[in-house]
Amino acid sequence: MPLIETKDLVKKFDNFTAVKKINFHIQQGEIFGLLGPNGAGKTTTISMLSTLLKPSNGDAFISGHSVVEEPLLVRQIIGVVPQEIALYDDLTAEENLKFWGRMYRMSGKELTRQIEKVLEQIGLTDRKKDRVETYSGGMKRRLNIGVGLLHQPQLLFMDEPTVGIDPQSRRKILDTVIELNQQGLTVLYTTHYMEEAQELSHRVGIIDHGEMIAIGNQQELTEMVGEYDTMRLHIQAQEDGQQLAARLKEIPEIIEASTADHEIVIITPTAEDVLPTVINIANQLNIKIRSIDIQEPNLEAVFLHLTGRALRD
Amino acid sequence: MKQIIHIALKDIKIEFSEKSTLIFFLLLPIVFTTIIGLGLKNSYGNDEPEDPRLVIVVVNQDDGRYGEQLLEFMEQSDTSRPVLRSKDEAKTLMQNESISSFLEIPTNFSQKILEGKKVQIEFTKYAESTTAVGLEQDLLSSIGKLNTVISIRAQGLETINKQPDFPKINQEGFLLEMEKITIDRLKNPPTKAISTQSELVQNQIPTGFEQSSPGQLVTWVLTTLLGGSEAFVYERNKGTLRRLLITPNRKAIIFSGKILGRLLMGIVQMILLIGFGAMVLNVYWGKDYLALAIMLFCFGLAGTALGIMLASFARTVRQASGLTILFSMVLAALGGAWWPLEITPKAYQTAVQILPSTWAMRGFNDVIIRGQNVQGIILEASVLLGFALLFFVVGIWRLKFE
Repeated sequence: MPLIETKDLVKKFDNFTAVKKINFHIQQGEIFGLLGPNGAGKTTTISMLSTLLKPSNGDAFISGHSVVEEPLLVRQIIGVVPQEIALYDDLTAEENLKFWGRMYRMSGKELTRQIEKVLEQIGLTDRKKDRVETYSGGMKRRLNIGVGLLHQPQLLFMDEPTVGIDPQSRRKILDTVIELNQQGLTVLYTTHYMEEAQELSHRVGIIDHGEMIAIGNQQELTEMVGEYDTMRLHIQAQEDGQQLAARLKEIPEIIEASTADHEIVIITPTAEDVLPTVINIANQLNIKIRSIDIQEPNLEAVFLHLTGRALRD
Repeated sequence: MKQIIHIALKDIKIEFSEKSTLIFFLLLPIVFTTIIGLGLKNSYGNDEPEDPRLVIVVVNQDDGRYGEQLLEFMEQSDTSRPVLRSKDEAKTLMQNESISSFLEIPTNFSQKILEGKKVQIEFTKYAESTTAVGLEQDLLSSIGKLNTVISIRAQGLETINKQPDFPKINQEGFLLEMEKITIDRLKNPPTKAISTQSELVQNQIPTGFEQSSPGQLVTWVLTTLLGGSEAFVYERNKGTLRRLLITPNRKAIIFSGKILGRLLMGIVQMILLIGFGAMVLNVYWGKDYLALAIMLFCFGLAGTALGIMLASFARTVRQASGLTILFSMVLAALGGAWWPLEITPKAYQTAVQILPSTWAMRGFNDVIIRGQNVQGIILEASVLLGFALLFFVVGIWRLKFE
């Protein structure tokens, strides 16, 4: 039996449908990456699975318990690391953990032992007596994760846990997720960073405009776009990327070309062959290319292939 | 239940994590209670207790001693006291309904008595005024005493007339002496009814610390209680409320915890301020501790509920903070916490009945200056509970947890 199973999960906010009949399952011991751009419906999906939001239609089952009918049972099984840093800044790390542990009916030696274990896991033992308001962004993120782990859940929901932090803290968090998974924890990890989904996930669900547009492991997903390379052209901020992308789409060897964050993402079967043509067109348009990056088939290419847009559009 | 207490204690801990909280929680209330109490004492001047007796307006047109004597008997009454006015003034006061009656002692009242003639004094009153009836009864008692004096004088005169050899030169002196003895006897009768009164001074208008102690308590505790709106909005915007909602606890438990925390803070603050008022400022906070406890609880609950309702209207902490200050100050000021409602016009006193602070002040004044017990504050406590219910219903209906 899968640990998570959703059945036609729908969430509507007035006239807007944020999640449209999503169906997927997650097996015990998996890291499942939910990949999609901002506003795709990732947080709404996690909110329904964690019983914070009631589905407008459909249902989801966590370890066999309905999120609609048995929310209290579901909450005992899951741990949630929200996107925002949901901690009490005026309390210390230890006080925060103690409070959240008590909310899960933990007490006494069990709670103390578990707090020490979690602090060790997230590398904050030395700072446990300091108020959270004195922590760096990365430390707060780690403590945010620690609260989600405290009651030893079977399943951990992590909603974009690396947003807005430095590369070192991000690395630490990714390592923690891998380590927790190796210890048997099942993880549902949402992100809009393709690299994180690729590195962490056993399987990935790609979500866009509230719809699950693809699910599979990395190999299965990249096969959807064939043996295509992804070429990224980094251009100056003031340059007209749209015009360049439009011209590049006219080249028969280029499958897809789109712009995002001062870069143009090109999907092509033969990156090295089309490179001189691309540079030539850029010169014709007087667009200066700062750097070029060529990658083998990846999730970015899958997303671009399925939606016609780059992940960070 | 444990979870409710943990949430409440967490809220209290966060509130007092900053030492500056104590300034608003205790220091400023104490300073304001003292300063305003001193100011109000000077303003309403209660060094000499006000005469609580009913006023009977008297128009004295007599220039003799019996008119004066009647006024003296009237002054000795426990229930009314004479206040002299001209006839025109008395008529105007009657027309304005400022008084319900007045007494007119006619011209040559004393002279006619001395001449042995019958005299009438006129008591004008509104037909259905119970106050006037009371004053009339009191007046009859004084007139009875005066008649006694006059009768004694008449008997004295008869005695003199029966003794033809009584020296004429001593006649008036003898009669005056008899009158004097009678008056003294009437002032100090051998038997006297003693009425037992409450040990409290029955001031109708609270003054000095009697006003500032409950008044500043209501003001500052309201700030604490309504501050619950800020705490609630802060948690909602920070995401900790959402995180609480996905713990295995029902929404009602989380909500109750938040209410309990705020209520406890308010009650502790009230106890500390009452302690200061009673021990340092010698304010008499009543003898019925149960009545006082009921008032504290009901006021605390109404204030906490209002805080929840305000939270439902605020989207940011700044908005909630603004609403807290605005509501606590306006409610306190209008509800009689800053000055006694008794000095305001009747229409104003009626209008502010719609405010919970008015009922809180009424209840506290009942306990402090009127020495009321539980029965005496049931109305105020019930109205405050009604306010609490109303605010909770509106708050819960509008409140967004997510």
